[in-house]
Amino acid sequence: MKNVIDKLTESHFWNILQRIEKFFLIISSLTVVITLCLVVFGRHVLHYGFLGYTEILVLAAFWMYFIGASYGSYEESHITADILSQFVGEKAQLKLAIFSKCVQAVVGLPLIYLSFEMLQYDIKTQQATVDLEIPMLWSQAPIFIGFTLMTFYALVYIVRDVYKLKHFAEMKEAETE
Amino acid sequence: MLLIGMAMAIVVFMIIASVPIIFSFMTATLFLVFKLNYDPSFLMTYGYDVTSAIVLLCVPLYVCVGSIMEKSEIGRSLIDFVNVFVGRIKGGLGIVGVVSSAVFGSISGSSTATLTCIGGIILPRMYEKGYPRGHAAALLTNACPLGLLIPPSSSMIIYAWVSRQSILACFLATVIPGIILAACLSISNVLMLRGATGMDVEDKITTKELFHRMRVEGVEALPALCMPVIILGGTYSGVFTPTESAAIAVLYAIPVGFWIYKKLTLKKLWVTFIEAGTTTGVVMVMVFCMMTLSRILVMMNLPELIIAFLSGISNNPKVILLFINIMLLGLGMIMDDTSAMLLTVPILIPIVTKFGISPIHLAAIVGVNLGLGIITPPCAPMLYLGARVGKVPMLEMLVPTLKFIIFAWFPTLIFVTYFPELSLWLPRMILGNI
Amino acid sequence: TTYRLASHYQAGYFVNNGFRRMAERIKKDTNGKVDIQLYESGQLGGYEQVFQEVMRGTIDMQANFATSRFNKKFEIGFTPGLASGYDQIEKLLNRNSPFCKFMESAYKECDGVVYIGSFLDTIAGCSIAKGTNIKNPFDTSNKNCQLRVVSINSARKYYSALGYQLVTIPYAEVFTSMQTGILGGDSGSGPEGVYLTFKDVVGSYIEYQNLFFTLDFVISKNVWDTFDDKTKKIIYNAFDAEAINVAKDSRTSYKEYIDLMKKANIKIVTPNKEQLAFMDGVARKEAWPVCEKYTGKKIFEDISEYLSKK
Ligand code: NA
Ligand code: NA
Repeated sequence: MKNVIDKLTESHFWNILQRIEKFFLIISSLTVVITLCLVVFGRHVLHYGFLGYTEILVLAAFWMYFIGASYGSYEESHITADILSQFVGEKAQLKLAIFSKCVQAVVGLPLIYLSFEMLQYDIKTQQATVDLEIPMLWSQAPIFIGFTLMTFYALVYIVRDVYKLKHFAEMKEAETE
Repeated sequence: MLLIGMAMAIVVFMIIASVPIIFSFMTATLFLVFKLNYDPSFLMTYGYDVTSAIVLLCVPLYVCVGSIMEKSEIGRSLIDFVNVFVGRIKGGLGIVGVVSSAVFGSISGSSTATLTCIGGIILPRMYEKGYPRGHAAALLTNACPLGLLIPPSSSMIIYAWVSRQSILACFLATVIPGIILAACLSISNVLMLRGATGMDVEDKITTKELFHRMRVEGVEALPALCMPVIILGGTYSGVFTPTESAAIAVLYAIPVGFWIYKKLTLKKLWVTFIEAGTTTGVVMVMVFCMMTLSRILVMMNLPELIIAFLSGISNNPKVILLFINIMLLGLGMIMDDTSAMLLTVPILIPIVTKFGISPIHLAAIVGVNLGLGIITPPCAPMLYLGARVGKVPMLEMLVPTLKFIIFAWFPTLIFVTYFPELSLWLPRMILGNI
Repeated sequence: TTYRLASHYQAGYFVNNGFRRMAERIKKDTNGKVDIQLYESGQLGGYEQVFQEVMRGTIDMQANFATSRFNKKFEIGFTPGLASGYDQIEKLLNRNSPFCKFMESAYKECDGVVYIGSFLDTIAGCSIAKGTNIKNPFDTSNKNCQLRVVSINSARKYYSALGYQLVTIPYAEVFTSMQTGILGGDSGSGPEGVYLTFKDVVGSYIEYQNLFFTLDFVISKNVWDTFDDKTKKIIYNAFDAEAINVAKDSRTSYKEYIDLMKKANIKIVTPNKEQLAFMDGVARKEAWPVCEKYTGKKIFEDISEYLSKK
């Protein structure tokens, strides 16, 4: 059991996935900053208004939002209230974590389905933005990718935490040594 | 009504069981869609539609600025500068902490960045000077939400967006409440320390020395102090829109971090973008999900039900505001600021309008409540962070935190709620009729 | 059964009142069988989102602009110079006009929706920010004014031919942008909209009189197909009856708010006959070809012919 998770988290796939996510986060942030600065520059220096720049911003924004949230799932840094876990022991915390990840995975599945269905509809209706004619598909695809990645990470961490829970006593010993 | 109650019960249960907020709410959304037999195909496109608002891009940009400021240690120069003025009062360093938090928070808008950066620098100094540890950490924790009130602030941008109010007006509405809060915190800090023993106070210095230090520290802090001037000045004078100003702030912070404070590196910059993207992603996907829930609540006519309920109790706006405050306070205890706002503001706007309360006034009330929300247990992310940054057991912080809430936050909240002029005067003066 | 009708306009706006009266009429005439509930102020989403939902059946009805995201042919409704002045526009919006027939067929091309008709919203002009001065509004000279224009290609071509610089600014930032001077003007509202939203930042209002907005009443096909012929007829009749009232209200509102703007010291700039004719010429020459790319030339000829008949 442990081998599977370790193999996965040490695999090229895992690393490359994470790198791609980081790459998208940097590129999308840069796109937003540069586009907005160019708009200001265009207005005051060139006296030129860029039409439809908002469509580029929306495109970059959705990649940033959903890849960012996926990376948040990878880091396990989604916002939680953490009320109960303040008051319970380590083992119970682990159980809570497993419950929480299970909810994420269960909720994730319909979200993946719905976002996929939205993409199918985009393709069917051929919607595009008005000015730059960017297909809606491009800015809605990250929603599907994001929910898929979030669910994927939740599933992986369920397996990891269940393993931890099973071998809780041994690991505690190993820690104290 | 029963269904809404059940959905809310699910949310509260999930939140208490440490399920991330976004999934807690999504469970409720899916539950309602299933129970009401709605075709769920609108959930995704509706979420997309509402989150594609351009103004929301301020959120990642301000997060970026905060993160760059934190990494380039701009905070240190701010603290040294403020210290020149109040360092010689007993408890003066505490005031330095409050004011620095306000200034740093103004630009970064992030309570986390403020507490980590300002707290990280000033708490060791406060301990050195003999401040009680619990008191010092509690003070900084109470001061870190100031950035939420002093503009620019991404929370206020989200408020303006949800409530369809002018961003500039919302920014201005919370300025005076922010100043009142900072003053209340500073005063209660000094009063609470009156009886404390073993505290060092800086020696008196001559006026000449004072001016010298002001100049030295001023020059050092100038680039940092320029940032809010550029952002707010540029926005209010019409050089750029609020969204654009956030991008300009990033553009400004980069060279300042690289060449003036020299703590920023290219690698740190990339990390900044990744962190900002992640923080934003987590928040924005939450926005995405929360808005689908609020759409369902609208379809179930919840706002009208609440109006009918409140009208049955009283038609007096003061009483309604009391109810709103109690509700926000309660929500703030169990939820983070952004989710509480996303959940309540779309429902509150039609209600306050009905009872003749200005949405801009509500902006200030919501702002203060949400700031308070992040430090009131049990869900008190800043309290836990404060304990970690200050290396103090949380129990030691509890009593002083409670005192600050009673002597600083509650008075501010009461002032803001029952003197609408405090929040409306500045927007009216600068923006004219609102 | 209760049906959801979505509008992006705020409560109290006269077109929404028209929709509300229409709903009451339908409810009464169907003995309460068709109960339409109006969701105003974009509570159910922006108009593009709502249109998609009507196509898919998650919202039953829509009272909104036609969105060219789904069919470029809808741009015809926002093409300048198609009709000028209230009399012509009202004639154009008659159920049997080539315009309405064209809209009906264009809506048919979007799966899942049925077009009932168009309410006249308003004739839109340009609201110019306080600090900005337009010397010659009715010619093609450079206006030195950054104007926000709805994202309709023909309308954009028209305003740029009149000498404006076009800019994209999100609607949420229009007010503050006009106030701070980033934006010279906005072309997206009629007098009532301008007065209610932008009064404090507008210095003058230019009546171009040849660009009008309509709100189309569209029903999801899933819902429409459940109605029997009698119900369908009741809906058409209720719509037609209110269309006349809304057009009247539109005229009244136009006058009323032009007067209110004057009282609020907003300068109203009105073209004379020659200037109007000149601008119609600009629209025909510059803006129409842009729209004809999507709609073909014929519909424009048909409309001109229809309007020239007595
Ligand atoms: Na701030
Ligand atoms: Na709290």
